[in-house]
Amino acid sequence: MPLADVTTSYLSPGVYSTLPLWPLLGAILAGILIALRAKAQWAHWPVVLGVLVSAALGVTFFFDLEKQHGAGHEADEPVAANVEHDATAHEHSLETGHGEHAAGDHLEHNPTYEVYDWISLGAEESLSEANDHWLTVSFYFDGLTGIMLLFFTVVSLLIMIYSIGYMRDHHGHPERGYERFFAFMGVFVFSMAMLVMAGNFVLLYLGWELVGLCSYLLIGFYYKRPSAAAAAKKAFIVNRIGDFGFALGIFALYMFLRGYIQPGENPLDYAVVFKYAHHMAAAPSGFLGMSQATLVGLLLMCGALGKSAQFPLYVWLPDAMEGPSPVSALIHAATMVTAGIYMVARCMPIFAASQVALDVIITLGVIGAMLTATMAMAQYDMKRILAYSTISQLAYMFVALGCAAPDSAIFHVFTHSWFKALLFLGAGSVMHQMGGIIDIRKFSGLRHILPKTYAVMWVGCLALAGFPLFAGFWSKDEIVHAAFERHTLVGVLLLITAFLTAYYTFRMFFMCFHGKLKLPAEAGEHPHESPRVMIWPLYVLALGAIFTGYLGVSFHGAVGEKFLGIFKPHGFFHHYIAQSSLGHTPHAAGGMWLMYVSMVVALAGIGLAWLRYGKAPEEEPDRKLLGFVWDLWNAKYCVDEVYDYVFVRPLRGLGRFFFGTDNYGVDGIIWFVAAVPRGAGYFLHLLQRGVLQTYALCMVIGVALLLLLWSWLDKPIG
Amino acid sequence: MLDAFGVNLLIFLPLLAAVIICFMPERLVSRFALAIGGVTFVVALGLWLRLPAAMAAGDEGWALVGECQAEWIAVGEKDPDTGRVINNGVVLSYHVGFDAISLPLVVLTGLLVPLSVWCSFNAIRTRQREYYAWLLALTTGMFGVFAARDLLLFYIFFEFTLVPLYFLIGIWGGPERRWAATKFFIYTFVGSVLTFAGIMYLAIRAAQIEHLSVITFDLRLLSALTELTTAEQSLLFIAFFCGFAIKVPFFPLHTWLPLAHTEAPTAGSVLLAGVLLKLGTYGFLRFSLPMVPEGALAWAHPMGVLAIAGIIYGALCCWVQRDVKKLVAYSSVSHLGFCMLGMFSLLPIGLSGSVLYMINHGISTGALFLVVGMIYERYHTRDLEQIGGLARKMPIMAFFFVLFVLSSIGLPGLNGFVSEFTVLFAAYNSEILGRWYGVLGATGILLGAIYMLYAVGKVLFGPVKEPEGTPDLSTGLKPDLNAREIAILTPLAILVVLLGVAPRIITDTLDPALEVQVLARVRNVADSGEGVTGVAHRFSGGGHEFLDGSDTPTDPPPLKRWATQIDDNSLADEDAPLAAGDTQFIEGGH
Repeated sequence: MPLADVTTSYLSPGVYSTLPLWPLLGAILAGILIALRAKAQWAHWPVVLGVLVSAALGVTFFFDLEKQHGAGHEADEPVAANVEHDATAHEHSLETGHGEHAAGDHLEHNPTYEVYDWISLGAEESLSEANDHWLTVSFYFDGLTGIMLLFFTVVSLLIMIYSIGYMRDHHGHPERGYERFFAFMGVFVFSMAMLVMAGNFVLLYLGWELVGLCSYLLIGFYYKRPSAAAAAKKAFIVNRIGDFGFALGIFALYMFLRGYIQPGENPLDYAVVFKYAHHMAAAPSGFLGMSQATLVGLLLMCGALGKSAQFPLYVWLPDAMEGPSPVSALIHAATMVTAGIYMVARCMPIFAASQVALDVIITLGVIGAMLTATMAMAQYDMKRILAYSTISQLAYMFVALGCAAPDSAIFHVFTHSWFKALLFLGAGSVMHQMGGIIDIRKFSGLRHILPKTYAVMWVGCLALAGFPLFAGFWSKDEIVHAAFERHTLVGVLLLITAFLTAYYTFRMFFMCFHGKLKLPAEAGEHPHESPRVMIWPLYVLALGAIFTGYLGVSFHGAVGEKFLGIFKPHGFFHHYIAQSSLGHTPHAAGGMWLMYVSMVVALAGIGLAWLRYGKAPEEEPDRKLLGFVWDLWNAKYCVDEVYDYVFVRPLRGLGRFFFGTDNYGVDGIIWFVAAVPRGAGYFLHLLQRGVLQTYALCMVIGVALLLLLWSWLDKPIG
Repeated sequence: MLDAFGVNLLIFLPLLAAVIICFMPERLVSRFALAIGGVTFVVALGLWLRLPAAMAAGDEGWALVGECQAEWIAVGEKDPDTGRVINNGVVLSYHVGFDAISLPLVVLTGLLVPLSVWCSFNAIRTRQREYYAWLLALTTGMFGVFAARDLLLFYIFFEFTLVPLYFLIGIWGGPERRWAATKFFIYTFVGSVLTFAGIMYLAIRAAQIEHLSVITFDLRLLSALTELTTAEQSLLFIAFFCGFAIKVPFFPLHTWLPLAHTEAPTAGSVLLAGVLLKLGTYGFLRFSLPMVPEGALAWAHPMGVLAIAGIIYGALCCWVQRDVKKLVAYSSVSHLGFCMLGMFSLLPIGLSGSVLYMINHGISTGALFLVVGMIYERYHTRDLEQIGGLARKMPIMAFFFVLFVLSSIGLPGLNGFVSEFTVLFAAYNSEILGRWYGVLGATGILLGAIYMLYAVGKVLFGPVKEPEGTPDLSTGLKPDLNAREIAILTPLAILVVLLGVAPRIITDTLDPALEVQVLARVRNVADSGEGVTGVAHRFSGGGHEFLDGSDTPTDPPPLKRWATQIDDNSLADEDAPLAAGDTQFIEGGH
């Protein structure tokens, strides 16, 4: 249904299709400014304006879809009843893995908007007119796209504005590479928009790789630092490992679906994939006994593991904190890293056809959540703590996906992007004033000099810790609900992680902002609060960190309901997102007790952190308590080292071996072949040295041989 | 008529100019050569623009722009009236013209020639006359190869390209230039001699099969033979392989390449990577596939295996290089493995991707060699341990370097992606190669990123590191790229983006031509054993047969089908007539 009726929509799909182009245009203009060596302080204008247009389009699109949805939906039945209806419908749909049919008429109209034909699949006489002849540039306008566009364009805009202040020194002069920074950010918004708007898998792959590129360029922004250059390379390559699987997943998808589609349908278009995905549920793939859906699902999942930094491919994300803080906030917390979640959610019809794939996702998600939460317990770098918590939160979303609750996952993506961006920008604000120092042992008591940052950091930390009534609480709770529905153990592990999250978040917070005022030497004489251009975006994000959660709940303020009881799961957000390829997912019917349990867990974590770190102690109390375990956490379980020894070094050794072989082995064979004529030439030249005696000797021997031959053949001479 | 003039102009103008240059004052030659290069580009582009009209005019896939035919060397009984050979003879005809398969490569050549001339302005200070003369002579050879519609003519031009390059490397190359030039020459020459034998055999057999009284080397005729036995075709395929695979260079016959590339002057490397390597892949596409399709089918698996070996081997070798130029050279081994992999998937998308790969590799690798040359002119070293952090010193260079590297590692949106993706896609979905080829080939996208970003990290990032006494600006260079160098790289940068966003520019005309000239041949042969029904599915995206049936998996074991079919044929044709024909065809006559 989305945008099917152009007459009732605010803007035509063609206009929405230009959304990605504006930031790109801005980036190009910024690039031209670089080329013209214009004054650097103007460079943010084209990009910020471009992103502003994108954000405006994104918001308009969001409400446009909502308007049409409302128009079409409320006519038939009240929302509350509809939930029940759709919930049962979706249970059925999960069995068949065939979401959109069961979910009613939501995908009756194909929401694909085709822009142009991009890559030819080669001439095929019989099918040359057909749609499957082309990989197209086409966009898919549904509720999921709407949600993603809404938050990512707005958050991007806020972070860009923040960057105008951040990317300057204390005197307000732009730092070196200011234009480059904004140009790259513009390209990033373009790429991310392409990713979430893509209407087929190849265009998705395009956005996917391009955001990876921007990540590479921006992590390596301070390329002079070897650690930044190395981190950039690591990020790109680890992502490519995932993309390797992702690409194979696309190939496999094409191969399998080709067997089911009607002529004229392109097996890589979303609409076609979702239509036929359920056929792959039972068909064997011919590889390790997996079904087709399992194989495709696991391969696609590889891509998500890389991009969303999940176990075992998470190792790049903590290192990615080498980039400027706004980059960490935008790319490595709020938007890009959620692309993997988005992709899996988008492909839910495929995953729903394979319980194996879903279970693998849950398993990896739980491992990742626990692993990185424990690592975050023992770090000192503020941004790295946040990075590990990002991985951990993304793992939550992964678990939700594995529990076949993609709307909960996207809900958490949505709320998480606000408070995590807030936290990173807050950390950036701290870092900016501390002269680039980010080690929480080196400063404390900052609440005295950075009161505004302190206030917004409270909000961000409470939201991350899952404190009741803050955004993170609602979305996290929903995931925990879904996890308990799937398996009690999963739910319990997530609750433990939630406790750890609250604990390490506030460990960091208290060590930074509480205790006695202590400043590093780099902070200069008079560190002061950040400029307004940095603070105001923080305020807006803080509002988001508080209130976005309420989009996901509905209120039933019936008399007699106590406290949290007035909130019921499944709010506006879920209705909105149901008008997408996800369809309606059944919401977890778990009881109120779980809400209270997670509330207690969050409070316990915060409280314990207060007890142990409330005074920002010099000595690390946990280390004394946990000893070896803490050191292991601090060393990040040595995963980097293990990877280095298990994968990198052998492969490079193989490279050396090959190169050696190339010079001596392969070339040696060639030279051996070449030596044959040379050797022959050598022996023959012995006969032709012009020495008469040799010639005479040869002649005599030859005549003798001939005579012998004749006599042996027993023929009379003459 | 004008088109034909254009084609001949492309072939002979550079040669003529090369002769003229020998008598010009030294200070003018470089600009003169550049002007000639510019003319070739304009003409090539003009011919390219004429292509759609020519294709629309009929004979779609076979359409030629500027066709021109004349007997060149003709031996035998001549018709007293016309002077044409009509009996008992051999005719080598000068038959030229460009079609949709060759024209993209021609335009690429037309672009790279002036750029490589221009990039030599500063680097080449000695014996300029000879240098530019050889460069232009090489141009003639390259255009001739793509224009030839006669197999022997092709071979002549193919071999002719060796000579100028031999001198370019041997005189203006690096410290080991003599050795590199000799190795390059002998290596490629030995291989192509076997190809020559194959060509001769094929032409003679063709005349015999078609009952012609005159031996010709006409490409279209030779691409339409149906009576060659499988055994013959296999052997002929090997004969062609020897010449073309060395040129490609195909693992394990690539060992001449790193040396030649490293030692060659920048212009030589650019043309070598950009155009001359494509002669090998072009040869496979143009000759091996349509002329001996059964041979190609029979050898498809070994070819696929070698292609993958090349992809992985080349990539890993890149990773351990210290010389950045050698790194780019080895990357060619890896990249052309992709190209061959796509070709021997024998799917439409694979062939189309393979041709795109030729173009894209020519652009991106050519451009990388240019950039490396520009670095070398300033720092006199290519050792990755001695230079570093150049992004700070040379931001414009860094921009171009990163852009071309991204193109080379197949970043979507840039040209490299289109060809890499289609090639791997084809290998995975090919029913001749199959998915494991796709899987192993796809490791290349990972390894490519590893070695290329390794190079980027070493050259551009980190603290600034420069050898003592550099950058050397004594020749009038600026620390960063100057206007001339930017102007050289800009067209390539534009193409990198353009062909990434709109590959249709090439494929719209390319696809029908590939279909008619190459695929139809392979398909017919593949089909002959099985009847008409099976093939449509196998080649046209297949699998539709399962629509009405049950949910059977669409993964039939096609590899076995091919194998058995080919085996049957080869058994039947065990006693292929080989020598018997030599006299017969002459008696045959009309």
